[in-house]
Amino acid sequence: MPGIEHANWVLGLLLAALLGPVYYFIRAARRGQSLFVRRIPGLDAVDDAMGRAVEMGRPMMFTTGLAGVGPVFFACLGILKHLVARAARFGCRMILAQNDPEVMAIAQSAMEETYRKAGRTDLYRPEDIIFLSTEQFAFASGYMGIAHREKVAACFLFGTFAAESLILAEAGQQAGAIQVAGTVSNEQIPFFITTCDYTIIGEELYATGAYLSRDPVQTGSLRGQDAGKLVILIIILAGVGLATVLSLDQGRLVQGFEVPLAKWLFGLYS
Amino acid sequence: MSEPGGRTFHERLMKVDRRLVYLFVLLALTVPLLSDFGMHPARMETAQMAFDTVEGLPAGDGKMAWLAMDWGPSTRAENEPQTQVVMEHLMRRRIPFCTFSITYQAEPFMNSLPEKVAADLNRENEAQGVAYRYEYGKDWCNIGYRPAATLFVRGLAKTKDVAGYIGVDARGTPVREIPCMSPVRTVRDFSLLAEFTGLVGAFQIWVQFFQTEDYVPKFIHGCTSITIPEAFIYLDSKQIQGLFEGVAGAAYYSKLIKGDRFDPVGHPDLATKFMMSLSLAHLVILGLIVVGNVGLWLQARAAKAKRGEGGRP
Amino acid sequence: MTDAWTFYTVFLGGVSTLAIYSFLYRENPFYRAFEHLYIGIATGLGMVTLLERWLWPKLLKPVLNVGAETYATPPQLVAQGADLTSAMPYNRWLLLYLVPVIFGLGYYTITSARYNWIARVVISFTLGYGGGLAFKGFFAEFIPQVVSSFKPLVVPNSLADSLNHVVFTATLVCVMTYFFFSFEHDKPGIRQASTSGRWLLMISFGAFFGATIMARMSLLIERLQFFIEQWFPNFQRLAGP
Repeated sequence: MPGIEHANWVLGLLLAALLGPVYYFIRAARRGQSLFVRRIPGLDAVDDAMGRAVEMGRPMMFTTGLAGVGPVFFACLGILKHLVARAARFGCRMILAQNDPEVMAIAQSAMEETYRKAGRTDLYRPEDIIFLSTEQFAFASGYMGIAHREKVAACFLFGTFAAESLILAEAGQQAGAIQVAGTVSNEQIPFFITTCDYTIIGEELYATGAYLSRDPVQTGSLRGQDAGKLVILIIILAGVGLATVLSLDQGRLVQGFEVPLAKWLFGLYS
Repeated sequence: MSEPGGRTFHERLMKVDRRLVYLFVLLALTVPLLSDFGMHPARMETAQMAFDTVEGLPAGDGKMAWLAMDWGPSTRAENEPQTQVVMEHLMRRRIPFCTFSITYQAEPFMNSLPEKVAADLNRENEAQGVAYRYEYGKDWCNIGYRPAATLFVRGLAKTKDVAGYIGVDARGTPVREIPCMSPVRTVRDFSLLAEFTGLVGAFQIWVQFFQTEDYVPKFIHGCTSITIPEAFIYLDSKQIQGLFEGVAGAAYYSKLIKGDRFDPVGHPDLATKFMMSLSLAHLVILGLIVVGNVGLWLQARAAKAKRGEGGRP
Repeated sequence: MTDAWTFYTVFLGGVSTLAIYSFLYRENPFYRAFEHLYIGIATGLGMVTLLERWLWPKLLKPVLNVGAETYATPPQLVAQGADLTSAMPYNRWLLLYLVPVIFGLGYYTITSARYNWIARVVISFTLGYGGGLAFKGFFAEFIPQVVSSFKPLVVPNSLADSLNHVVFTATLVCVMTYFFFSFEHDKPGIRQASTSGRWLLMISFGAFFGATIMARMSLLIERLQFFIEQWFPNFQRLAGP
């Protein structure tokens, strides 16, 4: 396709196969069609952690880590709104530690709106939405300090994390908080598994956001992504099948771009 | 198994103060750094691949290597030795390179590290009576930090005039006036991309955008230990042709470039010292894991015995 | 002057490190003071970087036509060896830079109930161009990985390779199954694949965790190296002749 880098008609088709279902399901959800989202066990952990904070009468703390404005953040925003709505109902304080000024502005307005909808604007405290630093470890050190000083009872770490993840989770654990984490940063999941009470793994984060918020865009995207994953899985299985047949036929190892399917599909990348 | 004070052995074991654990680890890490004892690093297949890639680059063809130093003080421990050994290898092979970063925290290192490597090699040349002197502008160039990472890298790959696109180097000299950069026109004039970082996102920017439709430079990657498992995906798909697995990769690479001069036992270099320190700490951690598991096992056995004595609690 | 400067910077570097590590003992005022100092420095540095490395060279310098190697210089003049130190004729088209600036400033309307629709337009634009770049990135990054997963399940004359490829493909299918959210994982076959997917994920996280211990230790080693090679010798130099 002239003017479009790396494009051929097969990739165009693939793009349509990945994007088409997302568009279709978002429209369906917006029209009011109920889309099924599997309930993942982590959801119970979110409510349990919150219940504990309410029982103890101590604040909760939420962070989106290093997430910028993007899909991960919007999934987290769904979770945050759910938690804030419950916090408003039970009169529990929510502290939001922030690393990104753009994210902070959106989160701030979402929290205010949620408190207003719940009719508890008296509970909304702008000073509890704390901008710490854009620098990763300065943010982590600030988070540690708040967790200890405020003696938080529950910590929710949902978003994008890097090397500071263990510092954050360790701080929550030392403060005696019940912790639920969820991230798409694969390499940070092990730390959360070892230090948090429950960890939502990878894409489960999007499912959690969609399940709790029931936002048609999030639920529709999730269903559309499932369809996209199915397309990729079918391509992979077809490739594996073809590679096996060719290897048996030629008596040697045939893989990757040696498989005609790969050349036909993505020839430009070879 | 009760002991004075009323606590059993396994109870004491399970309640060891975590600060004691920190102390053990600290000692294990410090002792090798203070001593001058080193061991030969283990063979690292991935570092060997990186070495072969650099070794296979043609020298003197006017092409350069692009060193993306996307690291700062927080991952310096792992990324610095990796960057240093690649710089040394490139300088020894007289392949010019330029340093660049998408993180501003790399700035002091982009300045000091090549200077240090060049000074060491110049001293070595002097001792051996070799006239060649490694100099800024001739052997390397520091482009410095540039913001808007994705857009910058994408633009760099597409431009037909690299010097014009970059403008000036970190010292303010127009890139066109820097001798080693003068033959460079497009991304095709970079035969190698060596990227060092602890940030998966930074690495992915290079994988995704430092290429054209029909040209991808040879790519080697130095990662921190955290991201090793993820980096193997790119090695498997041949998107990278070599990998430094943390500081261990750097230690083995150092051995490869130094050849006979490499003497880790008598004169361990920085990477070797780091490796010694790491190895001892790993042994301590393994020991602590065993102790913790023994404690758990004893606890479970004691609980079972208690249930046997008094029935269900 | 230089020596004194080096002494104080190295000294302060060590004290800061000790202050932050003192948290390992317990939360304390020493840690707290340096925590705030650290946040303050990082914020200040961030602002300076924004001004010095972003706004100044990318916006103010070209728009105000400042400096020898101004961005306003047409490349053909540079190629002809134009004297960059003399003032260049001002390129008025550069004033167009102000359009995206004004558009970006619209982000700040987010706090206004009446005008926050402007911020939404800015956010939509940001997400839109991010999404566009992501498509290009997706194909460039993941397509080679999809293709590299075309591995034959039976490799003639190599049992090890065959086994390797079977494990690889089974892991891929099981883990992908685990991440389907549109249906319950209670049907035979799906349930087993999904459960195995979770187990396999846990094994991979174990590998991640092991690797990470090495990384954490490396960070600490770097600090120890700093103390051994710079901090303590700093005092020796002070005590020396």
